[in-house]
Amino acid sequence: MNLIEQRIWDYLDGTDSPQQRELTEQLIKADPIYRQVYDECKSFNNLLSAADQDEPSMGFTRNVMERINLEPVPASFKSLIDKRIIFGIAAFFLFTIAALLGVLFYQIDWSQSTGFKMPELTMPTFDSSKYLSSTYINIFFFVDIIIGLYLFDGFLRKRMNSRSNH
Amino acid sequence: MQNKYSDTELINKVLRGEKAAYADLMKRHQRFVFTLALRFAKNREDAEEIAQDCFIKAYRSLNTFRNTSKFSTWLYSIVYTTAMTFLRKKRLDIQSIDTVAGLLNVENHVSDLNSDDLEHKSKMVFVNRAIDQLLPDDAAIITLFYQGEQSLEEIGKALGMETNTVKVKLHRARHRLKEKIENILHHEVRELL
Repeated sequence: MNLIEQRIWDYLDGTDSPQQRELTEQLIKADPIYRQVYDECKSFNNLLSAADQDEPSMGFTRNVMERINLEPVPASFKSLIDKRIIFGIAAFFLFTIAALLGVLFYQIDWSQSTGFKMPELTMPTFDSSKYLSSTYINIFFFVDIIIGLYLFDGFLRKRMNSRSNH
Repeated sequence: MQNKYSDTELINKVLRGEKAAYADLMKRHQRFVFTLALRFAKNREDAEEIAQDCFIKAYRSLNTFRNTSKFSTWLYSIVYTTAMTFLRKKRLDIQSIDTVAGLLNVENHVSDLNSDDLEHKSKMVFVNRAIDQLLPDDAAIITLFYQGEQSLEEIGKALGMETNTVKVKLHRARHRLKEKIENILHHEVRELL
């Protein structure tokens, strides 16, 4: 494709810059070669724009709707998560926290020192070797790996399904 | 009859459970979806299967459609991926001219047409035959640009390509198409002589 043709197509598609557009416009007016290419491209454009769309068979809509009627309605995120519900839940939690704090501060006697001492905690001695043998640890890791593989398989299936749906 | 609801309004109706609204949405887009599918499949049966699958997939994923692009652009991207998957499965010989069996059958409608219609139809037969001889990507770009009235950016979104790539491909596709039409016309004239 030569440069003149390329320039004319850019002009017809409207993908050129304003300066380039102005220049092409002047060239079409002044240069007979540009004029000829412009006329050719324009008539080719008109021919392609006039192309008809094909019609599917008469039962197309009915066939698709029959299959659609077997499908569940796709749940709308908007209908599932209404903003008023979100604000309602947020307001409830804010109110509960504020009320608890209010009651707490109301019950504190600010005039006296409480003389509160933290209790001393003594941890019971725990002999782990009684409960944890290497067999138990191996079984634990084996079950973990099985669960991990199961979840990974589920994730891959979901991804594959969503890809095939798109 | 033109439906009074916009695409977005119809989608919202479907998501509220009015399945019948999907039929209206489908009627609005089915001709172009089918035309686009035909560009890939090259025969009406396969194109119809692709178009049907495409509308089912679109229905299932309707809740994922965000109004960031036109519904048609989103739908055409589904047509493209569905057609590509279908072609991969069918292993069609996409270059074969012999498979052009699904062309417009003008002769069946001749009695209903006046001379202008006939001229237009016969021109369109050549154009469609030439488009069918293009590679699927080129045929899809030409169809989306001229018949789907999609911008280069929207075509890029639908086909998963950069806008500049689409621009270059469109230029090349037009050039190839022009050559194909000239070849077909040349061949027809030779046959007449």
